Amino acid sequence: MSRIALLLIFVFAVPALFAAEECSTIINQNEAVNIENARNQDGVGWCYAYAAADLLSYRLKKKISAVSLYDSGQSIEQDISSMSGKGGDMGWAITDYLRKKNSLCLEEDLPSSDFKFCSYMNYSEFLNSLYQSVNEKYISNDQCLVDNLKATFPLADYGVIQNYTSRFGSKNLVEYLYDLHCKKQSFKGYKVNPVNQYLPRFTKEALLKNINALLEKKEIVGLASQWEKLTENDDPAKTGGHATVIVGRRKSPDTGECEYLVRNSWGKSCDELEGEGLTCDLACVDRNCRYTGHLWVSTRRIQNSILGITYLP
Amino acid sequence: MKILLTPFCFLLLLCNAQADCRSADIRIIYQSKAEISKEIVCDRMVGKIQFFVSKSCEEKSNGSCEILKRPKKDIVIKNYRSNFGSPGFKLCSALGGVPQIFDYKFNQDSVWKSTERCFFDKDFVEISLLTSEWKKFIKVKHD
Repeated sequence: MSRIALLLIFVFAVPALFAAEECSTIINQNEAVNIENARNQDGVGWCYAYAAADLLSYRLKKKISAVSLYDSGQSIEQDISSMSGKGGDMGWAITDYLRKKNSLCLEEDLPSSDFKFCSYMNYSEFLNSLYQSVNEKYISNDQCLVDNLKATFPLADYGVIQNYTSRFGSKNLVEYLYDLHCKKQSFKGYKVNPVNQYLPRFTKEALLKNINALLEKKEIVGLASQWEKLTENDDPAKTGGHATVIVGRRKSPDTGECEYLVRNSWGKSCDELEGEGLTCDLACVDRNCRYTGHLWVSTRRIQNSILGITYLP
Repeated sequence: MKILLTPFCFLLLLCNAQADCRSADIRIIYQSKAEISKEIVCDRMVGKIQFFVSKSCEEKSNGSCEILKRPKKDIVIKNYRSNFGSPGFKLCSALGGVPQIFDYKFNQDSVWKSTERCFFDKDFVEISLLTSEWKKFIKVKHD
């Protein structure tokens, strides 16, 4: 073979081989975090807490309560009454909780979803109605609210709430109820120092390289991104930062480029986000397919929108 | 031959109709305990995508429900694309429904799967079906 041919092979074929290896198909999942159980943050703006809970749940193979990791820097009452929220940080949500509690709270002890509400209500509306009732002192007259209370805070009957509010009013009521339900303290003494890597200290290229390295180590990675850039929506208003979790990658069957499997916390709905470089993940059995609530997102969109990553070392 | 085939085709037809609706175990957390009930859940196919609807919304039994028959028109949803709350829940409530997250499994499956539905009285449709059908009509309003 001529030297020129050998050189051409070296210049083009060898890097292509490496590229194929760099985007080998990976999907990291286990009994606690998997394709079938994308979370739903319901009506609250605590995406960072849901993503942080996924990171812990995957590591510990046990579902950690998402709402227990609330860490928005203001009271829950302020957060949900403003309906805009201040957001939070995945890494700090974990660090702050472990520093305060030296343990974790399981989803089975403090549920973050699946509530059997007796009337139309999402989670934030329920919390608002609870505060309103406490402030107006009529919990015992509202059977629906009582039933909703049992669904979300089974340890908190009227007497418990009355006992608290007689001393403190509504101040930090939900935080108190969270603490009450997390008294069981699972994973006592658990220690982990989440790693946050954000722009501008880390370049986009470095972040992407780290994402790939972590996926190859069978880890999942928290992703902070500018959501309107990731979804490329034409809505002029900024939606702000959003936290999700990268759980896999593959070569796109359409373009051959590398794309990442992003686990969202908005339940199964997805197709309205689809476009060039973003497709909904489907779980197919025979010819029937269902949305999983995960998105296949191109490298381009990830690079355009990435703010940082969080992972557990 | 035609006489022999007809009952066979008739049986096939029956089997197909029955395959669209199945009994599912539905799990919802109540008072920290899982409440499991049996419900009939029917498939609604849009292309190859499968969605779940209530029996009352299942096409073939002529039981199409109001939400699926409702004429589509523009619907304004406040802060629809903000990341405060899931968009599907906002759409469900904007349409006058009640959202519910639940786990389900069929036929002694070993794994529970999760999804969310929107109730309109006793009718329900999966929220992902609602977003699929209404996405072109959603107009966003901001604070």
